[in-house]
Amino acid sequence: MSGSGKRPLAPKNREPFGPAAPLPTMVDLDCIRAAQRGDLIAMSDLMDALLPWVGRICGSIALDAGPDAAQETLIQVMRDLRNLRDPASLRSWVRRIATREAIRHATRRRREPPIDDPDRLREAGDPASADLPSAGTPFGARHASDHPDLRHDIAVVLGALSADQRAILVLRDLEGLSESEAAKELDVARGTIKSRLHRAREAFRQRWPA
Amino acid sequence: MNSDTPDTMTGDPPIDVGSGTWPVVEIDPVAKLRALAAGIPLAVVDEALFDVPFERFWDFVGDLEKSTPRIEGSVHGVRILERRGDDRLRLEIRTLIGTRDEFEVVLRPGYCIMQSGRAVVGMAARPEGPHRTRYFHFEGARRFRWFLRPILAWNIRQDFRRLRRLLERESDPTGRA
Repeated sequence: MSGSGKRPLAPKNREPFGPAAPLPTMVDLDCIRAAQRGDLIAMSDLMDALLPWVGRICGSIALDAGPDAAQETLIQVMRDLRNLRDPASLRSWVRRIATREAIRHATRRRREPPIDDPDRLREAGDPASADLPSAGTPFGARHASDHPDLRHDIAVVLGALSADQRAILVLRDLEGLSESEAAKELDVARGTIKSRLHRAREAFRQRWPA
Repeated sequence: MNSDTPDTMTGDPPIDVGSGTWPVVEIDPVAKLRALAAGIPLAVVDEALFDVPFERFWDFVGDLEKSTPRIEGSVHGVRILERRGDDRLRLEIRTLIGTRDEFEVVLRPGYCIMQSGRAVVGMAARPEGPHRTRYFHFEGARRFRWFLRPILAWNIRQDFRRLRRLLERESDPTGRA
């Protein structure tokens, strides 16, 4: 797929990123309940299981502020875990906290100039920016398996979007939520989700064209 | 997937850049333990910088059998009862007044948690540059939390002082530090 022809779009009825990432099987309900009772080992196991997933939500929405957002998410999760009535709802509960914390930290960080913006780096004459994608500069479709820097490139493209746009992309195209679920998660109307998602995808493709 | 698939609801296809390519952040052991401590009611926490490289710091602190009796004033000895997998231990700790307590332990580089029927303990460290280490520690009691909290706080302060002295002594070849 690398560098030749059009990037294949996900066919209908295929999940864009495969099935929504499940929590690792080690996090069974018994582990969650033990963690709720204050079992430190179970709490640690639960955190180990949540970390990669929380890290991806926070990293994709908050970018540079991702580590702070992820830590704040885990603090809230651990602090309030014992009040979670239905252990089976852990995933959606954690996702809601992670999404909100990521948007909050990203918005706060937004006042600072983005350090990875390729156009800014080019203007500054940074040689490391030479191979970064830029708005309106197609470089073809690539996947992580054939390009080790792909994750960084995607972060650069995401950095040109607003935190709200990144959040809707993460919830819809990464987590696989429905529009109504995403609307509930972000506490906005369904119509807002639809238009925000359209703009977010359009903005992403302008910088990551086929 | 969902009944209202992205294609049909918005008219444009989802972003497809391949799985596993979205940015991911990792959490260091200190940040992880801070979060864990937030879930322990009335846990006593403390944090400090030590002028010791991380590897040397954790070589010392992570050797529980040797370091714990030297750092913890009330501990007489530590014995490993069982090792399970890469990072699980069962320990017996004997105190100076003769009591024994058995702990379940998770021990990894820069990360250690211990749990018994009476207490929980957490220790985590991460490098702060090549020559310094950030150390985070918490302790909590299973019962009589309000009563034991000030005692634990005093105890941790003493442990930090002892640990600092021990590390200075270890780094001084004359042994006079």
